[in-house]
Amino acid sequence: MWKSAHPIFMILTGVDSVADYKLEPFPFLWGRERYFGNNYLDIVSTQAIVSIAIPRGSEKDFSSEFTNAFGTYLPEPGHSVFSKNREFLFLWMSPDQIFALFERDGLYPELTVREKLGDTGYITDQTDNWCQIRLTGQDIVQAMERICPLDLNQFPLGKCARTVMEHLSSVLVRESDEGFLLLSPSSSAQSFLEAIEQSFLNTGDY
Amino acid sequence: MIIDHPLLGPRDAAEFVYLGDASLIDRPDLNNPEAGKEFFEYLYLRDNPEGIHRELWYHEQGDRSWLVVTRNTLTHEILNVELARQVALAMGR
Repeated sequence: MWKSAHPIFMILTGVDSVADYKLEPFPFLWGRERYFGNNYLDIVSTQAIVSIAIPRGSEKDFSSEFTNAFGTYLPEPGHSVFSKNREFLFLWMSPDQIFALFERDGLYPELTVREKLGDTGYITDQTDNWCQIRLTGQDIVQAMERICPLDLNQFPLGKCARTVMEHLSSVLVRESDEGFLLLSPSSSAQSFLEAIEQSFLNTGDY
Repeated sequence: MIIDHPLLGPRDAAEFVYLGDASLIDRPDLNNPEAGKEFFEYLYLRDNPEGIHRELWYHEQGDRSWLVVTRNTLTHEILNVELARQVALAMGR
């Protein structure tokens, strides 16, 4: 969701009135945070998500170009990998698609990736289509296993997976021993957040 | 039911959508002289085996890949799982 963070100004230019729209990004679930004991739920609001699809027949060329641009290899199925400078996190999404996550700088994050990769892949900004929730704490696996069909006890650091939780599409990334990043479509962001919160409440005395 | 995805390992069947007989991969050539007959068989004539059956499943809540799952319709035992992409390439499609 994008909302105007400023009033809309009208500028008089001669006899015509021209609307000067001042728009700023306004992420889904912005500002929401909550503690469940020592576990912390936070909304990631400054991270861009850019989809990179690999053209059929160009897999080898793309892989080479990717390594030259980011100093790392394409992520293996079910895994994530950082760029050499750790500014980009790449998630394996399907055999011909990866997501690039990085700190947003400006309104057009796809240009940041395009500057690196050129025209070797199909690059689209997906930031607006996902909500991003970061969970940190010791009891996350216990809370999540009620609604997540994956075995999170067998989900090591760097692993990522797309699955379904409470009938909602979701992506999980293991960021640390006690940290997960969750993505879910922005159209059902509030429902997804409630599912996560309710799962904590159902599995602990918070 | 657990489907052992060739790339991602064991995944819950709730992540998948069932399409049907894997013979749907072998779509007839529209330019064949017998295309009408072949398409009739392709669209309407299905085997309904009691036992081993090859099926197309779609990993909708996952990596969006199509799989060919070989399943025993009597026991629901899954005997083999392949990427439909690889199966199609092996068939020369």
